[in-house]
Amino acid sequence: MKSRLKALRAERGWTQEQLGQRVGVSRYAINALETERHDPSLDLAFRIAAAFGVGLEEVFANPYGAGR
Amino acid sequence: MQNVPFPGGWRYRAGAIGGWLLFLAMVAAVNVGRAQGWPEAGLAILALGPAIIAAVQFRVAWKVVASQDEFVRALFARRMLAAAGGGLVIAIAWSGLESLGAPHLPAWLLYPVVWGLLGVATLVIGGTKS
Repeated sequence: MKSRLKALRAERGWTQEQLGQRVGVSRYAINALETERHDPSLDLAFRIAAAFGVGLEEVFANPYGAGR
Repeated sequence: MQNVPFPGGWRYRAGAIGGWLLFLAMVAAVNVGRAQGWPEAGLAILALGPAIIAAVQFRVAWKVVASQDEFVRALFARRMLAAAGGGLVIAIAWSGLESLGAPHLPAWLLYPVVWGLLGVATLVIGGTKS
């Protein structure tokens, strides 16, 4: 799943480890999300969006369109 | 690809090494006991020892993996499925070959083979998507 995870993390100056701690997962999970080796559960996706203070689709692109 | 090692800490590793040593010691003891005529009842209990150790090791590995995040859990489920599937294929193939005259191998060898395949799977499978 395409995401803006790496860009958003870089904007805030967070490491993968730091973002992982904020959302309660390992740095491996953050790395896997950034390299598209793992699609997050809805719960994790919401936690990540909340950590950045943005909406879900500002982090993860909806692969099925805009959903309108 | 960032490789994800098995998540257990030093206590898990020490326990795993101890378990393996006990596993091999019990396998060896059964063979020695048979050769030296130890009592059958004692040998039967000893012969079940490696299976008990395998069960305990899997239970501990399960608990370690279950305490990880969703990515690591899914990743190790895929790796273990690949290793277990590979082990089954090898066992079934060898069983067929044995019926054609290949030498008999003890079934306990499957246990280290599966863990070895898990090691290979760890190098090959790095994500939760196909």
